[in-house]
Amino acid sequence: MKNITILLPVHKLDEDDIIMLKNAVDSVEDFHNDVKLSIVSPKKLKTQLVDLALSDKLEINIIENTTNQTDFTSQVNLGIEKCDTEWFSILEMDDEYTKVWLTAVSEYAHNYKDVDVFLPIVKDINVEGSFLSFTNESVWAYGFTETQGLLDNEVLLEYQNYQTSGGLYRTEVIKENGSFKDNLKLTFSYELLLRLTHNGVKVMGVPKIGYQHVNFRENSLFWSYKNDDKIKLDEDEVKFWLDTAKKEFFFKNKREILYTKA
Amino acid sequence: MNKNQTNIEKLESALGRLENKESIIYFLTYDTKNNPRASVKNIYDMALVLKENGYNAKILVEDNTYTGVQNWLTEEYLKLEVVSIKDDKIEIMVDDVIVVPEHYSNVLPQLTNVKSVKVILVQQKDYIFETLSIGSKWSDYGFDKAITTTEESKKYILEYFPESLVHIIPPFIGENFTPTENPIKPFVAISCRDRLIHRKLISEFYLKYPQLRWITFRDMVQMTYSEFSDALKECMVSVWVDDESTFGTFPLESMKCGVPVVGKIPNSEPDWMDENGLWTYDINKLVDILATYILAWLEGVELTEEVKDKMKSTVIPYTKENHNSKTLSVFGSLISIRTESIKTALTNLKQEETV
Repeated sequence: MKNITILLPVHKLDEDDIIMLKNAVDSVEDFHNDVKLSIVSPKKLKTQLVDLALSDKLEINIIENTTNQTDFTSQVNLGIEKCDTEWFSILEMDDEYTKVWLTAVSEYAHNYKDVDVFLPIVKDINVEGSFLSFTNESVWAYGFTETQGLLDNEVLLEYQNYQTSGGLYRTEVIKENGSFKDNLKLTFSYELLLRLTHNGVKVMGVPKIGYQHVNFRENSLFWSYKNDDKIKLDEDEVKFWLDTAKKEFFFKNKREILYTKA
Repeated sequence: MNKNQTNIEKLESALGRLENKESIIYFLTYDTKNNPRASVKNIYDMALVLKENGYNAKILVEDNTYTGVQNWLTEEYLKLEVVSIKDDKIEIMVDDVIVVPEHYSNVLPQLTNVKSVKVILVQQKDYIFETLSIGSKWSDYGFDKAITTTEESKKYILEYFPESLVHIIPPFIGENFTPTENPIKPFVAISCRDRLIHRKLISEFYLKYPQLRWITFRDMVQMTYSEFSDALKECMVSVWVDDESTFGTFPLESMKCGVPVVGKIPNSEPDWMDENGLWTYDINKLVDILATYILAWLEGVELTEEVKDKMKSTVIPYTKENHNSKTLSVFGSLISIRTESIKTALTNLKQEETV
């Protein structure tokens, strides 16, 4: 029985998006015996997605988002809400799993029963495909976290750079502790990790490169935060959202947040 | 009582002790000051198997300041009696055996007049000449037998001490060295004889591969034997640099744990060295080989079945059973030869008495 759902949020499908989506789905194909794929998309894209016939191996379920909120976090949250498997993972449309992802996270999940979140090492590349850096690896550095391999709240308060996409999450635990807060800009995944570690959920690093992430792809959410005049964040706002994440992780559900320039 | 009769009595008494296994087998041992050493463990292993088989084996040390092995070896080794040269005023008899490690060659002149079976134990052939008087031979002091750990070392000994009778007793790799059932961790077990090289390798690695600065190097010192095997088995790879090594216990322990070894080939190549690790003659290549292996491991690349099989088959001969049976056979033979020579001497003396 398949006990992992891969959540793949899609909010638009232009030509480039389709290429990226196909690559992302291809990276899941090798795991078709063990995972099912849930693509969360706005209702208007469903027909187009079906027509793409993305895979004949994978069990693909398209979750229609009928609300007006089709941003990344809202789509993921909807996917989690509908998820009926023991575990789920998040795949961004412009990213890919590596071949070793399933073997690695499964081995760790099998051996560390008390851990509910497994974060593989993420290989960050630029749009040309060149290596930039690793993410999530630092939990294995000697003397960095309290227990080598496990992420803790104290460390997170100092270091924000962890990647939640590509991670393996125990569905029930995330439902209990709450998923992403869609009113947080920039720091929604940071806040989730702060909240989980604060609530005693064990978050462990898997020392294998399980996920490949394109950093600052043009028009991606984080690229836009830096470069798109409409939603660009200045230094003060970045600091505001970091500070907000550090205040909000005590609460399971989102609260009203009002950003005012200092 | 004339001199012959005194000698006859002494020899008869020696023969009695030999037959009753009361004769003592002394293993001269140096004080590691609580630092685990494979060479000392090997001495204790030989002594222990002899004791467990009814021989009177004892550890011989310089004086009562000897710190012992209780902090790093298991309790069973504490069964061995430790006697000191200075404080216990021991008398080594004609029917006893004394085993002296090669680096203790400076004591050989003091043992010239001792009439026991005298054996040199060579575990590090580079140490043979360290304290031996220039130009002298072991046989100058009555040491005509040697025990060593490898064929290569035996050849070397016979080249310079051709009069020696050389036996090989390879150390064993303990049963506690088994592959882990848990996921392997991103740790590198490192064992370098020279601490400067140890530091240099780690520094070079972190500077040349900053993206791997989070990889932990585990210094495999100051651990008990069981802590050592537990720490080793969860590592993804081992690094071994020991130019003076003759046998190479650490890489074999790694292989038995299923942990591949990146290593510099020592000055004298161990008997077991084959395509069973990532070996190089050039120490400057070690860091690159290590990083290449680690990056491949992080990407999920597995060792080939061929290398895994080679690692497994390499350690097969180094079992406790083989070590024990070899030890008993060698010492049994030494004692049996001594028994025969005492019997012959006794017969000759008795004949002289009759005449």
